[in-house]
Amino acid sequence: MGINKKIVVLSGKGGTGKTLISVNLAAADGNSYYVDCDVEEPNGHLYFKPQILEEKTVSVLIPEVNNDLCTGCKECVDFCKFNALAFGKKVILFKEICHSCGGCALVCPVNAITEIEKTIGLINIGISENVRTVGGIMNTGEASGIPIIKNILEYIKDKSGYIFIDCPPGSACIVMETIKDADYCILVAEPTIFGAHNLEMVHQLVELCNKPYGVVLNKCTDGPNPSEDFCKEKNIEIIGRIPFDSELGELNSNGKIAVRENYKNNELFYSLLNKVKEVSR
Amino acid sequence: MKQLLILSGKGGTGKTTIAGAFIKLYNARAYADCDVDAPNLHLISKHKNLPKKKDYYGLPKANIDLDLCIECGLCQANCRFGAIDYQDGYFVDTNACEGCGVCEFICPASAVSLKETVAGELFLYKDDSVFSTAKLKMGSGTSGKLVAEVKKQLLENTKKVEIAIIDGSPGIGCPVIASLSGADIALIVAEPSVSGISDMERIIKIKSVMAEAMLPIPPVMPPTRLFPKSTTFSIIFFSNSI
Repeated sequence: MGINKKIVVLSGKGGTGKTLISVNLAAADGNSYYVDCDVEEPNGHLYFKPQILEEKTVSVLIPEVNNDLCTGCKECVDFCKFNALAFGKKVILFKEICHSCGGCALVCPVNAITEIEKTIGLINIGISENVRTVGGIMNTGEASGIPIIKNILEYIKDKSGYIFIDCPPGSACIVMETIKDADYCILVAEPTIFGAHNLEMVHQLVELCNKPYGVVLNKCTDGPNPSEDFCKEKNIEIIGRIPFDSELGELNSNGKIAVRENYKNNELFYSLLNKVKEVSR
Repeated sequence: MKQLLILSGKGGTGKTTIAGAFIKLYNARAYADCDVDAPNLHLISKHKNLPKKKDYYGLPKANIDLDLCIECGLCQANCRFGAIDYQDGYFVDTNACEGCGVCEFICPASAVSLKETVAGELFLYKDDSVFSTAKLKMGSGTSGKLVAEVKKQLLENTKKVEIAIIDGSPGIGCPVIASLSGADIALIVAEPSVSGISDMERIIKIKSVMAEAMLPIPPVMPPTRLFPKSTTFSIIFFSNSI
């Protein structure tokens, strides 16, 4: 097995360019993995248009009550901290809010509860040129994509090469889960007060998780850049700057990968890739 | 009171910009920011007074009393969330713990108890208008529950208001579903890109699961040449009854 370097691309705010950066870095490397952990709204596949090699469904366990055995003692209903069970004439399950803890099956004194699998989404493995893509998609209506993300992360655990991981927005448990095994974190920020405020949040998160990190400033203009000011104030390394450029914007909004097109500033992504390899060594 | 909820599926399409503009144009007296993972609306709201703060408790989390623990390992074996680790004794990873209580139930030595933990903070700005917002603690779960608290706080503090404007969060998961509950109209902000369209389609699907009615609008600043050639506007003008 060769090197295994997990580079996680994240930003508190949505729409700052996580997918743009991770897709282009993976394509610039050429022999890498691109991993889309935004299972609620995955977008990376729109750029790579991978040939899907494998698809696996992801399931969680939910209780099933055998009404012939159930005595109506309601211990399961009382136990469930998530209020996913109620009792009318029989036990009623609200599938969407069940956390699959298995508690109801444990507490049932007459073993009337067994657990069955419920599909919540799938993960897919594909290839686009030499880039291996791994992604997942949560079924609409489900509350949490974390089991799907765990499946994705398990799949890439011992793969070799550079692995670029595209995170969901925010700083909640789902992001924490994604950066747990990161070797390096790229924080993408845009030059607005919203951008700077959310950068501050993910900055706290990577500090809390004790991960090495650097910032990429996206959509840079000649005007003021509150995110840059924040980096300077906190002494955070800026590892790249991407200009606010309509040519790049147009490529990106049409689902094109800049480094695979004849984009004038492609050097930006290659030097960012080199920088990332250097700092994550 | 009617609740107007602003959503997008994809992040960064301009939910907060639209919410801010609507609050101003409508002179809205009640509004809330339901993006508890990355709140932003407070950065542009004009309130002179400092907000009233309130701790938000998520579900209580497990705690192991090492003096009582007999190291049988049953808690770890039964935890579905991988929240119990061992290093010189069993301990709970509070970020992973979802507070289900299985370990407390299974422990033969009564060494596990569930303890209240602060999982975030609620803020209430109140002068001639009411603004409810919150911030989830780093890495916490249960954001849906906090969203419900934000909306409850707004409702409890407003009387006789015609409309409440609610800034939603990106995605389609639990915070979004929680913000949809009670909403009268959902407005979807879309951006002219392949990602924007894909994410909008997914959020529209949620409608059939949850919301009663949704009214998507065309993008705010449509630089038409950025639209993917394969896309027609018909997707954007997903007309619907309100």
